[in-house]
This record gives sequence, structure tokens and C-alpha cells, in this order.
Amino acid sequence: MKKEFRFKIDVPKYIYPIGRGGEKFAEGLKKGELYAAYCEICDNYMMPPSAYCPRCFSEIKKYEKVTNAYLDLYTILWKDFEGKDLEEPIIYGFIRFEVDEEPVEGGLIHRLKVDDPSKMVLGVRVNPIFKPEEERRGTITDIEYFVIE
Amino acid sequence: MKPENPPGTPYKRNDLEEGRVLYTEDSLELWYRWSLGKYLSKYLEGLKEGRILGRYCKACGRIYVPPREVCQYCFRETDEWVEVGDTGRVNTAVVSYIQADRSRMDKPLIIAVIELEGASKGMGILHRLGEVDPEDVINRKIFGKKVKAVWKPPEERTGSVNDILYFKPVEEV
Amino acid sequence: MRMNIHLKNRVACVGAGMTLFRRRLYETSDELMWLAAKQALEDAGLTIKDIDCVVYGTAPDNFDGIHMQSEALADGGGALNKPYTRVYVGGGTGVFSAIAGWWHVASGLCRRVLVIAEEKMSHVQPHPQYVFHHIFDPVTEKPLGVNLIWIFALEMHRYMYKYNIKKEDIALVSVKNKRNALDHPAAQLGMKITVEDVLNSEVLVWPVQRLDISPISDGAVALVFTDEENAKQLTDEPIWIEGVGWNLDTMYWTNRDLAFPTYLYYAGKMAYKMAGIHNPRKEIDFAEVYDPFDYKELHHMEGLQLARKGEAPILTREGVTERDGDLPINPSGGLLGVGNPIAAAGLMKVAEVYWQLKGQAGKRQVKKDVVTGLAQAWGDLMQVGTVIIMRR
Repeated sequence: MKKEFRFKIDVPKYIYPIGRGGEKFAEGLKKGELYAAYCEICDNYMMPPSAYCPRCFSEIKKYEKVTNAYLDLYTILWKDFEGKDLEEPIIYGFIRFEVDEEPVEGGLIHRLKVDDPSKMVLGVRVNPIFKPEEERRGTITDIEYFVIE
Repeated sequence: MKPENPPGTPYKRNDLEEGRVLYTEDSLELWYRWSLGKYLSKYLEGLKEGRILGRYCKACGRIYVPPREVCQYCFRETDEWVEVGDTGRVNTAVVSYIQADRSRMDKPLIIAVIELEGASKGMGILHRLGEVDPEDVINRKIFGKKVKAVWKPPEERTGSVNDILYFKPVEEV
Repeated sequence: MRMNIHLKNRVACVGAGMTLFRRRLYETSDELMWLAAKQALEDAGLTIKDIDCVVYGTAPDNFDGIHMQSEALADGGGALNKPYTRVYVGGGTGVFSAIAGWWHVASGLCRRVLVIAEEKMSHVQPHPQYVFHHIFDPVTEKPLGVNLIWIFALEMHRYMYKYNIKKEDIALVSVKNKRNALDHPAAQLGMKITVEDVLNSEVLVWPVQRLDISPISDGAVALVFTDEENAKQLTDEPIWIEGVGWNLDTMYWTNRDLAFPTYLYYAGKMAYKMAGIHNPRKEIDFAEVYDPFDYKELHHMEGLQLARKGEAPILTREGVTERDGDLPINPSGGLLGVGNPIAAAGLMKVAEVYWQLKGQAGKRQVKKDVVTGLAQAWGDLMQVGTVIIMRR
């Protein structure tokens, strides 16, 4: 007797315009820079930047270039989505930022390329490595990975 | 006048293509393996044998197609299997010129709700009609007419609603 | 039908806001929510800090492609560190989110509630229509290649067959609503068309043609609800929510009466009872009924007992449902004219009832003096009715 039925749910393609808040961030990525949003009312920096402050609901008018990035957390992946062993483990870091020594709320999750594992300590300064300028599209994958300084 | 100055920034498709609007892309594909359960699995098995099966509720007397475990009106388990006929009457019918993704079909398809004979009044199923002039759908002459299932040859059936190719009229439209 | 409802608070609407409705909007989904919410708060004279809890409504997740849509967008709703709820009944969600906002206040749980409905359909390629393929039963219906317009066409044709209704009469709804929308500042499809234009438009699934259907849209709408005491502090003319109702029919849509919306008949009865309405046709001054398709406005008028069975097309032909008629229907321009960002379109109808009762609809203001208005939506697999009744 037929007991099982297979079917799929698919959407061939989604297109996500970057939106108001992502605009400055995307322009920054294309230039090889990272921008945080600054809420003047709450005196608060935010990453990734948005168009509005989720606390006071005011419009974000200032976007500031980050001046420091550091490794806050990391995890090492040994298997892929289907549970198969990866040829080489992949390291993902949670990167936090500062603007002129002021802390930025939030951060980015991104790949970390590590040559010397002994340097991989929490709090270590990291730098983004961007794709060549002509390949950048204003998306998060314009950053290839972060490296430990 | 409210709403006053409703905000929002419209854009056009070619703003994406010509690089005026930055965007990211994604897609979705999820595969499911459904356990059919006792009732639907027997329904599909029946279709493979060229039979349409329903379930009977003793309490209210309804015969359900497709079959189901629970009578939704009495909220109790249905009681017996019933083989309903593969003939029925057209409750409503339409002519489709588009596919699910809104692209045009090569040739129009006639879709209907068919009330099967042997099931309770109003128990229709969704299926195609064949050997029908679309004009008789548009002028609604097909409504209320008797139709009969045209089955795939037994060796081609897989236990699917598509084991029925379509329903065709068996009385003059 | 028996109903016992014990309300702690009478609930008022004190503010409304909305974005443009357009085929494609550049703002992200949460940015649209923020824009609509900000306008509603300004309208109410409140800030986000005054809001106790937030209710959010959107239709299928698959338009955004994020399987926790409400959580992903919570910041745009101002829901940070607040009780936050998403409600979902497909196309009925817009009005249902208002109903959920109502019960947060009516129960005494929250004092001031922000209700937001948002939809961005434009993400889906090549066409958002395809997402609806996935709402059907995967075993008995999807293998037939079903699309959403099939089932509406089947329902429309059955309705036409049962009451001998002409397409010309149904097309009048589309003509009226698109014309009404010319006076709506957020409208996507306000235009002057004729019955001939509708009948000559592209046939999608006979009897449904292109101009019988509402468009694909992006947009967001927000409302602010509060209790009686607070409402009287904020405004001299609060608009009261006097009745709510909702009702669900079977998922087996091919087993239903396709010529009459039973689910809406019951939802309407529930709301009428709460609002103390005995003769809807006389006591409802105007209504925003759900019109994703032109025939559906007629269908829903009958389900709501605003017309007898088969009578809605006649009332339409006689001009009763025009803005200057005896029973104005969809003075906003409805989904056919203003647009159909699904959940947001339903809440737009509630906002329109609010603006009409406040006398703030400007060029859209109905001619007669109005005291009681009704908004309604419809959804899931053609099976749910959601109704809200407001009074000034």
C-alpha cells in the first residue's frame, strides 16, 4: 500500500532590494568600508545598520565608519548541511565593532580565515578582506572573510 | 484628507536590471516526505485500481470523498469504507489559460468541481474535464451535466489523482 | 448562536497610518512597518514608548522567504522588549489582526496596542502568484497543477450560474472601486475604466479576467487601539470597536456551497450580536467588504446580510453601493483600486472605516452621515471570514 507521498515547496527566485537602512552599508561595502548606524537620541551605534532606531523609533540620520573590529565568539564547522564531513573545517566568527572607541550594538557573523590557531583568542582584533573592487555588489559576500590582525 | 502623504519609494523592474536598486537574491526548495495515513493511502490505492473510495459516517449519514478519518460535522470517527461511482455531475467549471506561475498555457485546460454519484450531495472533487468544447463551459451548458472518469491504462497508474486523466460528458451537453 | 462575552474594557481606535500601496516598494518589510507605525502613532499623539504591546499580521511566509517572519520584522513594529503576537488567517489576517488588537485591550491585558499588517509580495520571482500553489493539499490537489485563480473562477462561475448573474454586472464593481481609488492618496490602481475595458481585458481563467482581479502589491498599515479612559484623554471623538466576529469553514473547499459564503454569514452574525445589530441592511451605514475579485464584493455583501442572496449585483447596478448611494461599499477603492498587499489590504479597510467615521476621508468621504461602519476580510483556503464593526 502506498504510504508515503513526496512533494516540494519551491520558490524559484527571491529578490530583496537593499532598502533605506542597507543603502549606506551597501555603498560602504562597495568601497571596502563598514558603516554602523548612529541614533542621536539614544546615543547608540548599531550593526548591521537600519533605517530607524528600534527603541525610540526615530529615523537614523547618521552612519559612521567603524574604526575597530574584534572577535567576540567563534564556532568551527566540521560537517556540511547534510551532515557529511567537510574537507577542511570552516570557522565562523561573531565580529563586534567600535566607532572611535565607542561600542557598537550587534555585529556580524562571517567567515574567519585563521593561519595560526594559537592567535584565535576572544577579543583579538580582526580585519575584513574584501573581494576585488570590480566584483563587489554591495552585499555581505563582498567581504570574503575576516583575518586576525 | 487621510492618509496624509503616505510614505514609500516605488521602483520598477528595470531599476534592478540597470543597477539603480541594489539587491540580493535567494531561492527556496524544500522537499517533503508525507506519511499519508490510513485514509489517503487507501484512497490513492483505490485510484490505482480504478476505484474511487469514500468514508461513511453512521451518525449523520454523510459519505465523504476524499475519505477522511473524522466526520467534521459530528466530530467522531467515520465508520465504513464505501466505493462511490466514477460518474458525477458538474457543480462548476472554468477554462484556464494560465499555469500556477501565471505563465500562459499552450492550450486551455477545463477545470471543474464534480459531485460524485454515491457521495453525499455537495461532496465534490477538483479535476479536469475533457472532450468538452470550452464554449459549453463559457455558456455554462456543462453545469449539472453527467460526466464519467477516463482512467489511465492500469499499468500506467501510480496511485495519484492523476490516474484519472479527466472526466468526460456521458450525456448531451 | 449563543455567545457570552464579558468585556473588561470598551476599545477605541485613536490613530491610523499607512504607506503607499505599490507593485514594488524599495523599503524592506520592516521599514514599511516602521513607516506605517510611525504615522499611526503621530496620528494618535503617542510615541512608541506609550505602547504596551504589538500585534502583527502578514499572509504566507513565502512572500518574504523567512520562516519566522514576525520575529524577523519585530523591530520595525516597535516590538522590542514588548509582548508581541503574530496572528494568521491567510487573506483574512488584516481584519483578524485588528480583532486580536481589540481583545488585547478588551480583556484588560494591555492598555495601548499597536496593530500592524504588512506584506511585500514583490520579492517572489517570476510571479508572486506561484506562492499560492503551495497552499493546496499536496496529495489531492497540487498534482493537478492547481492555482489560486482556478478556485476563485470556479466559485465565481457557480455564483453566476445559481443566480443567473451577468459578467457585465460583476464588472461594475471593478469600475466603481477603481474609480473610488482615484481619490485615495495611497492607491496603486485608481483609474477610470468602463465595463467594456473589464470584458476586453486578458482572460486568465474564464470567467476571471485581468481587470476582475486586484493587483500584486507591497505596503503596510498600522492602527492604535486603547481603552475608554485613555481614549477620552487622547481625543474628543474616539471611534469605538463595537463588534468583532470570525468563523472558519472546512478545508475541503470542494465540499462547500460555492455560491454563498457560509463562513461569513456566521462571522457577521457574531459581530452583529456583539454590536446589538438586528437589521444589518438598515443599521450598517457603509462597509468595506473584501474585494480581491469583483464578484467577491457581491458574494460578501450577501454573506454579511447587506443584500439578499443574488441581490448584490442588482444593488450595484442601481448605484446603491456608490459613495453617494444608500449603502456605500468600498468607498476607499478596495483591494481592486487601492491595491492588495494581502494582510495590509485587510487592515487598510479597517483604517478606512476609521477615517470615514472621523469625517477625515476628504474627497472619499461618503455623502450620507455615517455612524456605523463595517470592515471585513476573507482568507485561508477561501474559508475564513473576519468582521469588525465600528461606531463613532
